[in-house]
Amino acid sequence: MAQFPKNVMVIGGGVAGLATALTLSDLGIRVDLVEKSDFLGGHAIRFACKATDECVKCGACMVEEKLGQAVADPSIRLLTGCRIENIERNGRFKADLTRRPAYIDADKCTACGLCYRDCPEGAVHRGYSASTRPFYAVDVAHCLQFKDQSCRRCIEVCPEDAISLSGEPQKLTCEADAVVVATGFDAFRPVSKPYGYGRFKNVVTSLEMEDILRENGAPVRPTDGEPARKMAFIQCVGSRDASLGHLWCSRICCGTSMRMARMLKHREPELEVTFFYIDIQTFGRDFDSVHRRIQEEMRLVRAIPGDIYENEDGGLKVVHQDVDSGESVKEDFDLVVLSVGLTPAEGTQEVAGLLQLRTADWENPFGEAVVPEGVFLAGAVAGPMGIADSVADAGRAALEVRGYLDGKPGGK
Amino acid sequence: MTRETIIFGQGFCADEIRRRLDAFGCPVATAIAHRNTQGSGQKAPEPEAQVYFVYDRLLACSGSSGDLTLLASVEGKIVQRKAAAVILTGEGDREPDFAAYGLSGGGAVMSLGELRSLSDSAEKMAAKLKGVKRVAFLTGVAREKVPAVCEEVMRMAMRLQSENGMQTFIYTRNLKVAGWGLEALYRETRMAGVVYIKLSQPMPEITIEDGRPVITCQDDISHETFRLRPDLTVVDETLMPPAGLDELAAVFQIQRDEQGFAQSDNVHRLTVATNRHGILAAGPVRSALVAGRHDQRLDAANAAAAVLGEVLGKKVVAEDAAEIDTGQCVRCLTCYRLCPYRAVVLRDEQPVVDPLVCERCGICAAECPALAIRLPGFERSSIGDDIAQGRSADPQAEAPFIVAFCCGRSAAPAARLASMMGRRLPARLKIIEVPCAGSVSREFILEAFTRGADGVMVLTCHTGNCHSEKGNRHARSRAAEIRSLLPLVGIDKERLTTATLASNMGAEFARLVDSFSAELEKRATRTGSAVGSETA
Repeated sequence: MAQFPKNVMVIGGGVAGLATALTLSDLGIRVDLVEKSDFLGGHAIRFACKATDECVKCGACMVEEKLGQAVADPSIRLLTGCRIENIERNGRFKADLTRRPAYIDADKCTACGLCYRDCPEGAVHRGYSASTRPFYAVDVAHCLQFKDQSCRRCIEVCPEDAISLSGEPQKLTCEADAVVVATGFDAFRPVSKPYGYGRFKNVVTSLEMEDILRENGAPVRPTDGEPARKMAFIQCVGSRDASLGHLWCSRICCGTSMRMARMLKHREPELEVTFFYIDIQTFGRDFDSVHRRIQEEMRLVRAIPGDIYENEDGGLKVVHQDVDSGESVKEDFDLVVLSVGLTPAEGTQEVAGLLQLRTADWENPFGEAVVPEGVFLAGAVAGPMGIADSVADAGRAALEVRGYLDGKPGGK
Repeated sequence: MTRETIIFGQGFCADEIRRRLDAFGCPVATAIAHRNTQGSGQKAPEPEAQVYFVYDRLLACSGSSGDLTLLASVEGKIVQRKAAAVILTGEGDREPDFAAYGLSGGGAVMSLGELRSLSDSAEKMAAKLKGVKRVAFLTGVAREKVPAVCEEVMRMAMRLQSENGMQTFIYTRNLKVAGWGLEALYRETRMAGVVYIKLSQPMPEITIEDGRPVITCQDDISHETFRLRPDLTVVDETLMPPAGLDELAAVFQIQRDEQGFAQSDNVHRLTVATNRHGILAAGPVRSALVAGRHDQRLDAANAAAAVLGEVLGKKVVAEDAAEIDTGQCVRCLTCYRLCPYRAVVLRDEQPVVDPLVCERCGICAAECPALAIRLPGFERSSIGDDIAQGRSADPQAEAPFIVAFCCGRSAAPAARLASMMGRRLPARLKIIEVPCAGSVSREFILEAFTRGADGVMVLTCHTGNCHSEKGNRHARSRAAEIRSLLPLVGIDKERLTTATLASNMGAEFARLVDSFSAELEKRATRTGSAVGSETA
């Protein structure tokens, strides 16, 4: 039996990283959870609850719960805002980290939100979880003070004197007996698709729609702040797409978008929803009956639109093939949601380079990942997966880490 | 105390769990219902290789995680068996969808399972499928399927197409490619010549000609009518909970989902937990979504991690469990019936709370008709004092005084999030955070009115999202009952409301309390009573 407690570095603070850290903690192992951004929870902490009159098992609240548990767990050291400079391997792992200064003092900040409200550049970002401390963070890439020292608005407006826009990055060393890579995915940026994304304000990605819902609780249009009355969801944007070389189903988008649409219909029965899709993927245990209800609640069109044009009022014309006639038709919508797929994360490559790791090709996830001894993958870094699957994969990864640390390779 | 885990059920997932636990030196026993070994179904045990727990009938399971006691009858005698953990697993049953297509098996119609068992031997397959040139697969046409079933269909079609020189057709509505590598597999099968026919409504017309089905339908993509008379029609299957699960679920007192699988459809049970600590459910026995090998491996690893961590690794400390006052208790067993975690046990016919199992949901305390149960920290008087303090905090304010009972897993964090998001909450809002809305008793609600609340909110998790399974529903039905009685004591029933929230619904929390506050003010103006005035 190995000597405990051992220490494990988990790279990535999304749901897979958090769940891995918590299971490792359960297994008597200490964790350094390293996250490059200012906030924990990854993409999934942004997700809105999709409940109708009942829970629809989207899992968004589980991310919130895991985050809260990780924050409260004394065996887990949370290192946000960190860059990994180097990882040395000499039996154990030794990682050199650079941590951005805490521009907002978590102890002083009361989350009043004045900095967020008053920043002229929108460079103060807000967290998503009540367990996030501090709840706000300064985005140095867009902050004028960092650009040309021309603005101290947030510092002046903060009643608690909690903000300072100076300070040296902190150098940290993290010594670990094993490393878990949980660097997740990047959401596909649909700029190359013919949907006017980035130009037409009322064309939003499903992730941006999550933000809109978290803020407003309703599908308001970015152009006028009015709730949409006629919405379209376009599925498989960046997934199952040979022209992009994305020969994978992203697995989560049917569930996310259809649950979202059902929730919106539940709140506003007059809302008209059209789904453009290839195949609807099974989500949830009761999918057969949910699918029947979806067919009644919204219009399903098995066709992926070819084009979107913007009307003068910000409305959108979606060009798609009519199912019955087979002819091309133009149809008006006032909000279009692109259900963007998952793609391998750019950040993974950097980490992979440091660890001499090669992740799997998403097209063929059982293919040729090369993972050095003592290194483990957890969650969507290995391929597209949602919250529940990430949590399950994290449990597996944590057990295998424990097997490795115990010198019990059969645990793998 | 034993460290042994007992596994109920056999198959791939069971083998994986055993392998994982073996690797860590955790002792494992495999449970075998004796009567099963006499039929043809289950393999007879091989005693050297494994430890078995052979029983005739399972009677009960008591105790807590790490220290369970199973009672079973073995050859007419009652035996006791200790276990640290119990894992329910197994293959699940598969029911061919013949009836849904108006077909019956035999001849030119075969279930996916039959084809799968033929495929074990190339000779058997060649002999049975002699002369077959065209094969149609019906998958997910009558009923939506999980990716694992679709994967099997694609693999079978691929094999018949490329190894047996047949032309295969896959009829489906929604091709299920949301599994590992399935989109790539789909493309591979198409390259190999498998033809896909995608259907919307209605069902394809299936008639029988000379003993063979003829399938007529309109293809979604080409809009052509397509008529096929295959030599063989393969019908897919629906995954069901295994026979015999009824008995196990009853003995272990676990919550099941609507389809009857061995885990309630509740996100709090992710990944392999049940409502009882130390009793786990892994593989297709817990959900049809875990039928694929990859997912079964993950489940097996999670079950092993739970045994190693939560069951064997953690020191369970009992803290502030619910307490039953035996002097006041009338032994009606309401608590015993309602405890979602099975923490109420009978000792000498007296219900007592096992503090190692209690999760402090407070359902028992709120439902006890004799008021004999106390959840430390959540007594009526302390809650009342808390409310009174909240009321006196800002006595000058004009706004109505609202008491919001908030579940600590959902509404309370949503309230925190609302303030952090900068939402202005009503001036006189007192939040009473409770461990589970299930603990909000009728007395709590009445106490809030007694202590001067103008409005009372009971804010719970969404239906189907309660960690204690039904705590939210108990709370809402109690509130509904009180609501109907309020007019009898001269209180406007609109002053009591319920709603459901999730922990991340900050914006919704703000809107909810805001509109409740506005409603209270409106009603107070209409009735002429001053807001914030004494009511009881």
